[in-house]
Amino acid sequence: MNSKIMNDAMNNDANQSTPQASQTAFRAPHVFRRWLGTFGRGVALTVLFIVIVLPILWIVSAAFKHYVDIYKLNITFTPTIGNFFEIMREPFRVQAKLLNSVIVSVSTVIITLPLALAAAYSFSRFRLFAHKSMLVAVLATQFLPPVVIVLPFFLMFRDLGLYDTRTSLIMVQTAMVMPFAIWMIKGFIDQIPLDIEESAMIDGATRMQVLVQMILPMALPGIITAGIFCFILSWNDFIIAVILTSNNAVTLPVAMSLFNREEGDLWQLLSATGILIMLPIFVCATFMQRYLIRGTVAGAVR
Amino acid sequence: MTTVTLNRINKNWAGFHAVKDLSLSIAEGEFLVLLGPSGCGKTTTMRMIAGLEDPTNGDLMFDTQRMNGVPPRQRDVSMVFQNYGLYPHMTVFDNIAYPLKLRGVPAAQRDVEVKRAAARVELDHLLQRRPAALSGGQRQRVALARSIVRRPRVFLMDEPLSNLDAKLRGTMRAELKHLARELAVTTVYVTHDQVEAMTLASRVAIMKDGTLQQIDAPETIYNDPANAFVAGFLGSPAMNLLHGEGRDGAFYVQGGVTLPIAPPREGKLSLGVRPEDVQIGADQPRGSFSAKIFAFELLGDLTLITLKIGGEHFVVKGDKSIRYADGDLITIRPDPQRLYWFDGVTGERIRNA
Amino acid sequence: MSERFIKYAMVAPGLLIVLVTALYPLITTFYLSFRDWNLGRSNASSALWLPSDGISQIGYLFDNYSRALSDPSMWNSAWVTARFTVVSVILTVGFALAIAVLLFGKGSVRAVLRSMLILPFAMSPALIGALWRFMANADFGVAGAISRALHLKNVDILGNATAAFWLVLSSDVWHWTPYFALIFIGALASVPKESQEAAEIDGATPLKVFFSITLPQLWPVLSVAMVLKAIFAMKVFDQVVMITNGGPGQATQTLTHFIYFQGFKYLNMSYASAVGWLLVIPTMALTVLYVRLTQRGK
Repeated sequence: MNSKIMNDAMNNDANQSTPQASQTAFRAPHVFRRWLGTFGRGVALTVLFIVIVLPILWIVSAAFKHYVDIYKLNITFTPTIGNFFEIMREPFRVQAKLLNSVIVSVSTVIITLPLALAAAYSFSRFRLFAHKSMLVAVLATQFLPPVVIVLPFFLMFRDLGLYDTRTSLIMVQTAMVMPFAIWMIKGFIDQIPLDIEESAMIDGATRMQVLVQMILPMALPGIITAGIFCFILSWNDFIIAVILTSNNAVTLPVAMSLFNREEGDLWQLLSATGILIMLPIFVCATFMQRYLIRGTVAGAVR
Repeated sequence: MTTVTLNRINKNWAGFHAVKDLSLSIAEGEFLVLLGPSGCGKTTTMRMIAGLEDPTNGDLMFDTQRMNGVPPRQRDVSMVFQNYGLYPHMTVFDNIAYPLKLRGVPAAQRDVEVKRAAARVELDHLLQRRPAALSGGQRQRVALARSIVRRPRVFLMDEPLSNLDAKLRGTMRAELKHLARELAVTTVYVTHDQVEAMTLASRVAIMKDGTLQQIDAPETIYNDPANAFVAGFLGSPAMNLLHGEGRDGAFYVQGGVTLPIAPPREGKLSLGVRPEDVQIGADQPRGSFSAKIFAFELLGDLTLITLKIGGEHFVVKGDKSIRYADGDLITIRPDPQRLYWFDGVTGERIRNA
Repeated sequence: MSERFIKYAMVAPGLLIVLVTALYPLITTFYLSFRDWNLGRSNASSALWLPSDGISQIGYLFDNYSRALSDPSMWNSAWVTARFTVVSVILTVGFALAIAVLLFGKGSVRAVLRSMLILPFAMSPALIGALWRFMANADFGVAGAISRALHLKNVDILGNATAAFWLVLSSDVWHWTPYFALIFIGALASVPKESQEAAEIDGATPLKVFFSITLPQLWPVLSVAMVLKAIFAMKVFDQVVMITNGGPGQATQTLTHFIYFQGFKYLNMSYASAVGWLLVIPTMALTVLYVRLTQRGK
């Protein structure tokens, strides 16, 4: 074998030279290769960091710049919070759009979670008619192009006089996030052992009581995670809102798009609005990670 | 044929000192067993020999070659993992052939070698299966075959039998011993099972908390332990250890009992007696004493009698035909030639001049 | 209350909402695709064919579809969508895998970067679109800054068809890659370490270990990820609107955008429905594939 030959050669060397020499000669390639690997990895990590952070930093800094600074591409600038005040004045009135976003997204989550919990519990613990197909059907709705889905609702809402209302947004967004919520919560419920429910039922509890008193507290990390996920989807939604609203029920993402004019975009105002969109989501996302991890670990420990 | 030498090897991980100043040398063709409880550093030591970890300091030598920092693929060792480490996406044949393939062995020769290795472990009929379709024992044999298909300088085995059920373990132990003898390659074997150590090893190295306690032939370790830990580790049931004090030429056991056995010196001492070295129903008054039976167990081929001496348990092996009841008082006499004295504080063996 | 009643009662509300929102649009658009309706001209759809017209005229039913299939704009959008899907899948999954390998393992630096991975996914795609448009701006954006620093002539990304395409594509890749990287990191953790160590001992270099031992074991996750990403790519809309609105010309007009324009700018409800159904076909095919791949073990 190769190493045998190398071994013999080494032994010959060892007889003639000091042990030190043979040690160093053999060692150098590994040390260099390792150093190169670490250096390369460091470069890659830095690049990755820049790629993720740069866009975010760009928009955050633009939100606090005067228009002049944006035009001149200054890296150093005197920050201002004037942009935030300006978007609240006429004709933008961002606070109204912010309120819309909050009402729509919070309502969506509030409606979705209980229904999703019930449905997830049923899917997890019972065998329903065409069980597998039903499960697949729940998920399959996610994969249709939203534009195809929203169009008929646009027509329907128009006829019902619900066009440009928060209600219509809430309805369609609830339908959009419901499959995610069901799927995620079901995953958590699947991990809860059956014994707990069975002993509760032997002790005299009904299914509903079991669901509320036993399952709900134990699946709470999953429910919260699903809630945050649905909130993010609803808050960030653009296509549904842009089709179903025009004036009154406009949400933040659509409001932001209105800053794109044919002639001269108001980047600093757009960025300020963007911050309003980003902030709650970043907070949610950080929380979601913690819960995601906790939820997964809890499942494993159980 | 390679010798492996560890010279003052240390391994540190973020504050945890896993291997402390370990020095030992393994002779050509020797079967060395690293024995010890979980966390004693035996697996870490083996992984350093394999190249999966690097010593923090110290020298690792294969023959006269310093191996610190050399990646595993250049060390020409082979290893059987506790969980076998098989390649799940390859057939048994490809699993065994992989090391040869990496070395550029031509397909025809690979075929011959793989079949030969498979035949040795009786796997010839399973070559086209995937690991997922094999039983635990079969997977372990695949791992074995893969390790012997080329002739490495050193064989490494990390608790290869611990995932098998008891019966299979016994069979595989015998097979391993036979295989090792046939191949006569320097072997390092890690285990926490003292039976495996006693039966397979040419020498046993017992480790505890990262330090080497004793390294000797199994028989020597059994009959001449270096400290109380080693004494208590080998043997089933474990050696009895009575803790007490030597005073005025007598041995006072904790709990107020005095034993008619002369201690080698004054001070805190522990007395070790193996269960099989105790005579029941003394014929000599010298060195015998009586104690109450705490529990009596009938094992079929022998009986285990647990006594309470000064609050501590003391187990005696008895003939399969004797019968006693709990609470009975019996007289026993430990063999005076087979008494082991240990320092009560350090656990070091006190060897008489 | 019987068990049977309860289990259906629990499922009903949630399931109903989902099914209605899937079936109602599908049925409605299907129906509309065989009718004629321009919202600007009338308030209801009119028939393309009535039984009284006679069987020989039945071809008119398919007017919208035949128009779609002979519409060069539609084919342009189909082609844009196809290119977009293929390239974004390759880039996303490729980068995500590389990032997963890079960020796998211990160390505070890696842990910090891993926790940052969720951010691009959490950002509104519309916001990302606006941001990309901002950054690509020749005067105000990163592109402007770079071209000024390098003393290049005014660089116009948004006006160049190829550049604009890659701009929109990059915003989608930026949005999704970290998410898939997180998934792949989890997948890497489930590859048994011992199979990799055994390969090292058997003689494989770290590169070889990755390609012949680790990667094959990741294949199930990778294939599902690719199908999933393809489905997401076909739904891309927000960024197209925000960055280029389909332009320059129609260089970045994906099918979803085309449908949107037809339905809400030109108010051609029936035509939009027909094209919508044409888009449903490949999406459904991918969905079936996704379900097959994920249900395999169950």
